[in-house]
Amino acid sequence: MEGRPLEATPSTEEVEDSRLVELARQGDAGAFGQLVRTYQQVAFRVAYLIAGDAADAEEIAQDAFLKAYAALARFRPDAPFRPWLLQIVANEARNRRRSAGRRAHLALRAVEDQRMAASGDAAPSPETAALAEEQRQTLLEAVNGLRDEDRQTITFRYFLELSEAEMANALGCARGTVKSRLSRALGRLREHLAARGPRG
Amino acid sequence: MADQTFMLDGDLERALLDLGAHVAFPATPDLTARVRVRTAETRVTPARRGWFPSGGWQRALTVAVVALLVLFGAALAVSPEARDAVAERLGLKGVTIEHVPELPMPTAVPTAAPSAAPAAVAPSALPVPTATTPPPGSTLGLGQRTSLVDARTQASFPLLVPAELGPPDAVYALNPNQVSLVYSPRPGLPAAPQTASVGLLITEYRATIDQQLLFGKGVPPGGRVEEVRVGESRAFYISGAPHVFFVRDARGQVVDERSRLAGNTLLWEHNGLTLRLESALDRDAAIALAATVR
Repeated sequence: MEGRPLEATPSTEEVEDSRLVELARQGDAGAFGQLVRTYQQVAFRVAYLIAGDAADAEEIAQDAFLKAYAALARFRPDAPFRPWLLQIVANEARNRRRSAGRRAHLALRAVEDQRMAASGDAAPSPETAALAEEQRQTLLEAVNGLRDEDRQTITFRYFLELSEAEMANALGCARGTVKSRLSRALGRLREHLAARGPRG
Repeated sequence: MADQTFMLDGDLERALLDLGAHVAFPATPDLTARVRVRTAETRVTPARRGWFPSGGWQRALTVAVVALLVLFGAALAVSPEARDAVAERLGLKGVTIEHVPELPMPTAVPTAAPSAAPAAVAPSALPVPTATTPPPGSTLGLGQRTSLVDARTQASFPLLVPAELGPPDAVYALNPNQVSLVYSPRPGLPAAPQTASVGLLITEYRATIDQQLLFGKGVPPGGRVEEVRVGESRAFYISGAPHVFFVRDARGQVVDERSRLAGNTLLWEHNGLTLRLESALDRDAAIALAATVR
């Protein structure tokens, strides 16, 4: 399967993060700023997928970084920064989620945007290239139709490509249950797709 | 529609990854600057003392005082849309000029809160005035008194000072996005009657996304607003009859206790900050002084 591995292994990014965290603990604001720059997108998106609102997500992500900074003294230097940060983001987002009914309604990028993005990317695999716009739309509607937990599990894993540890932190579950949750969510997604039936 | 292809795990997962690459997430805001300034505060004042009795910076961020309005002449109820439109015309961040027929009446000049004794919590490089000598500008509703050192660490932006005047005689912070520097009268800085006889009042605002409070200025018909330049920046000089200075809350309502009459005022922008200089100086002297604020 493509994408970021579910089973995380210490990466060069983590080594660099540890260095930056250590510098930040010593008061190097620039080092923390680099961590913010690196992770603000994933932090914002995790917040968005939980909170369902871009303005809320912005505030959540910002506050999560500030909380992370304030808690750096308690952070184990050898622990990976990203999963820890995403846990703070997810907790913050859940605490502040304004209404249970609110959820991000994901949509596809405009075709023109996709073309521009694709032209700058490596060539997609034949399988992905073959997926028509309509198929994507159908799949996205099915994802949007899932209940919150399944939807977050699917989007964290496949849209944000979180690792197992990050998934556990962001979902607020034990690491050992991530795979089973993912499997259940995929199962329900298949049910949704099957229920929609073949179209066109 | 070949939904059947999703029935295989590998295909479904591949399709989801592909889908993820085509989903339109909202644009990620750049948080680095905002987090940087807030973390600077966290590092220096981990105990979270200072401007906000409770709730700390979270409230400060959402109740950010960020904008200036220049109000010509009486209706205070101006729609946000109108504000935006005029703000665009001015091209000066956080500053709008509203055209209204009459000047609103200011409320009484506020007095300094008795509890504002921040010298105790703000170790200052400045001499601490005795109880019988109120610090200059303490009646202007500028916020809590602090020191230049603390203001620098607590403000959400790099604080600017007029290079040639040296440290101010008093510093006030209303919140991390608004800091005021007050200078006592001295040769070249005559006392300004509208600012409780201080020589110079410089207020620095950082405009943010959360524009919950807006500063207002009501300029009477006798007042004059000129477009000028401070260095490379577009600027506005308000002179003539005293105008009203007030604060709006998030709903656009005027917060009465901070309304007051204001004297000649220069508004300009520097490094993303909106600055307001109030003094008895004439236009050119005010512009010359503003150019030294770095």
